[in-house]
Amino acid sequence: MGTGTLAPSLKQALFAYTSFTLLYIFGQFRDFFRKRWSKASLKGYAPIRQDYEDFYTRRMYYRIHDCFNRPITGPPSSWMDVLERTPVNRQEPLTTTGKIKRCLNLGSYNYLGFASSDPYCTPRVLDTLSQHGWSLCSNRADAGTTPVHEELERELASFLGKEAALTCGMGFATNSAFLPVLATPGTLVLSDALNHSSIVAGVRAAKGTVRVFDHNDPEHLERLLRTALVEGQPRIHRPWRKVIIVVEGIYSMEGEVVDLAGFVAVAKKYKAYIWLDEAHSIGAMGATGRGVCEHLGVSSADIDVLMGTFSKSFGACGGYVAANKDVIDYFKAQCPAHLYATAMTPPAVQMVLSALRLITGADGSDRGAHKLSQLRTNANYFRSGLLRLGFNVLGDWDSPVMPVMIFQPAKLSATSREMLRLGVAVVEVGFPATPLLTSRMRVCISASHTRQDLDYALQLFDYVAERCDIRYGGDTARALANTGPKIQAV
Amino acid sequence: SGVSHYFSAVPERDIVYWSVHTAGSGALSASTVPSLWCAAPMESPRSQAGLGIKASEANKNTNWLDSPAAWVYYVALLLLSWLLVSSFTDPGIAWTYVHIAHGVLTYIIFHWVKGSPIANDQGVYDSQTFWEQIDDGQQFTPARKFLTAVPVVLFLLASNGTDYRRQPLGVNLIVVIVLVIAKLASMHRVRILGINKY
Repeated sequence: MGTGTLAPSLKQALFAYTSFTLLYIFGQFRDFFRKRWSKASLKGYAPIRQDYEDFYTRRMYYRIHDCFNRPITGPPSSWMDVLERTPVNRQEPLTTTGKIKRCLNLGSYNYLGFASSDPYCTPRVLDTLSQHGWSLCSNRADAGTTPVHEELERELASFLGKEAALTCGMGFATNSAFLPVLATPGTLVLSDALNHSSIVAGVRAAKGTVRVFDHNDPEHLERLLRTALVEGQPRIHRPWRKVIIVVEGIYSMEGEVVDLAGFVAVAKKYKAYIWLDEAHSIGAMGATGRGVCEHLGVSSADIDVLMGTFSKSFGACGGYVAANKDVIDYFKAQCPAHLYATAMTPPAVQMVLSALRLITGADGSDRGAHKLSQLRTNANYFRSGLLRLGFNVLGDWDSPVMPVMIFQPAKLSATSREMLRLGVAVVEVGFPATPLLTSRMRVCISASHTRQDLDYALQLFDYVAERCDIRYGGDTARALANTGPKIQAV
Repeated sequence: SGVSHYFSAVPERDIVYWSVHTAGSGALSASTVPSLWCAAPMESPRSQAGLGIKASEANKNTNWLDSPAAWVYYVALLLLSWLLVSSFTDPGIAWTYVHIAHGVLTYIIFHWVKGSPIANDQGVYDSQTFWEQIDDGQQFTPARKFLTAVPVVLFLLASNGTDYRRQPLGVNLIVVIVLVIAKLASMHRVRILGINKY
C-alpha cells in the first residue's frame, strides 16, 4: 500500500490475536461478574442497549479511552495545547486536571496551515461575522443564502472545473444526505471497501443496492459491475436504472491515492457515474491544489460529482458538491440537507472563500503557491524520515497523511501515552475503525510545520520506536526512504 | 474516524455474491428466521450463472477469519491447550478433554451468542449467530470449510487417543455430531423449536 504494507507478518499476527483473545477473556469475566453483582435499575423495561453490542466499547475501548478524544484549548496549528486528564478509572468519564501540555500537532487535518489566524483570511472573516452574523438561523432554501454563499459556490465551481457547486453546513452530511438523492431505487452503488463512514451512512440510507469492491481495484470493480449488469436488480432481474461508483481521493486511514484513471476508464466503458470524495485531497494534492484530478492528470469533466469538505485544507467546516448545473439544481430541489439543514455559517463561508483566493493567488501574493509546495515538501521529507527510521508507513509519496503501522492493540495505547508524555499529539486508530490487526498511528503533516518541527518529531519517533518496538518496516522501508520526489534543502 | 472493511488478500472464489447491505433486505431481517420445517432458501453457489464474483465482505465482526493467520492461530491454540492438558493427564485422553472443551466453547461462541460487538453496525446482525455472519452468509467458503473440519479432526484425534473405547467415544461422537450439524448449510438461520430465536 504505497510505501508500506498493510498486512502484518505471521508472528505479529499471532501476537495480535493473542492480545485480542486475552482482552476478550478478561472482558467476558468482567461482564459475568457485573451481571451477577449489579442491581437492575428499571424493572420490567427492556435494556436500552444490548450488552453484546456494546462489548467492544465497554471492555476494550474504555480500557484505553484516555488515548482518544483528548480535549485541546486554542487553535490546532502546528503546536497546540492539550488538556491533561485524570487517569483511566473503569468507565468513569475523565476530567481535566487543569494542566495544559504544549504539544507538536501531528494529528490535525491542518494541511495548508489555515487552522491558526491568517493575515489575509482572518480580517475578512471578522468583517463577514459583523456583517452577516454568526448564524443564519435558517436552511439554505428559506433565508439562508447570502451573497457570500453564492460567491463561494461560483468560485469553487470554477476552481474545480465544474459548472456549479453547492455547499452544506456539515462535511459528513454532505455524503450522507446527498448520496441518497442520487441513489434512488434501482440504482447500483459500487463503493470502495475502505470508504469513509459518511459514505457508508449515505449509501445505507439510500434505497439503491450497494456492492463493495476491493480497495482501489478497478479490475475487481469491473468484474462486479459486469456481473451486476448481466444479472440485473436483485430478485426482479430488471436492468439497473443507473450505476454510481463512489471512491475517495485520499483514503485517510491509508494515506493512499486513488487509481482514478483506472476507475474513470471502467466508468466510461460501462457508462457509470463517478462520485469522488476529495475530503482529504482538495487543497492538498495537485500542483495548484485542485485535488487528485490535477495530481493524476485526469480531467475533472470525467468525474460526475466532485465532493469535498472544508474542514481539512480550508480551515473551516462544512462540505460541498460540484457537478453539472442540472445535477446541482436537482440537489437544490431535492436534498434534505439543502432544504432543511442549517446553512453554512457566513464566517466559515468567508474563511473558505479567502482560503480559496489565497490558494489560487487571487489575493495578489504567492503565499498560496508557497503553502502548497511547503506541504508537499514537508510531507515527502517526513515520510522519507520515517521510512529511514524503519517504520512501516502506509500511503503514497506527496500524500500528507501517513499512517504508521502498530499492529498490536496494546502498543496502540503505549505509543499514544508515550507520545503525549513527550509532547507530540498523534491520532491512533484501532479496531473497529480499521481491520482487526491493523492498528495504526496516523500522522497528518501541515504546511505550517517547520523543518525544525519535523526533525524534532523524527527524534521523538525514534525514541518511541526504541521503547515500544514498532519498527515494522525493516530494510524494505529503509530502501524506500530515498525513492520519493527530490526534497529541496531548507 | 473512518470505517474500513477490507482485510488482507483473499483468494478469489467462484461464488456469486448477493448484496446484503440494503436496509431491510430479506436475508437480514429477524422476521425471516424460519422454524425447523421450512428452512430459509439458501443461495447455492452453483445456481447462479455467470462469472460468480464475490464482493468485499463488510462485517468487521467476522472478516478477520478469512486470513490464514487466524487459522494458524486457532490450530496453535488447540495444540497448546492439548500440551497443557497432557501435562496433567495421559496425552491420549487429553485430546478428549480438548475436544469436549473446544466443542462447548465453540458452540457458545459460534452458534449461541448472537449479534456483533461493533456498535457501528446498528444491530443489523442482531438475530444472527457468529457462524451465520461469516462471509456475509455465504456457504462453502474456505473459512467455513476449515472451521467445520476442525471439530472432525479433533474427534479423530480424540477417538484415536482413547483407542476407540466405547466411552468416551460416545461422548466425543455426540459432541462432533452436534457441532457439525450446527455448521451445515441447511441449518443456516434455522432455530430448532424457536430456541435462541431472539
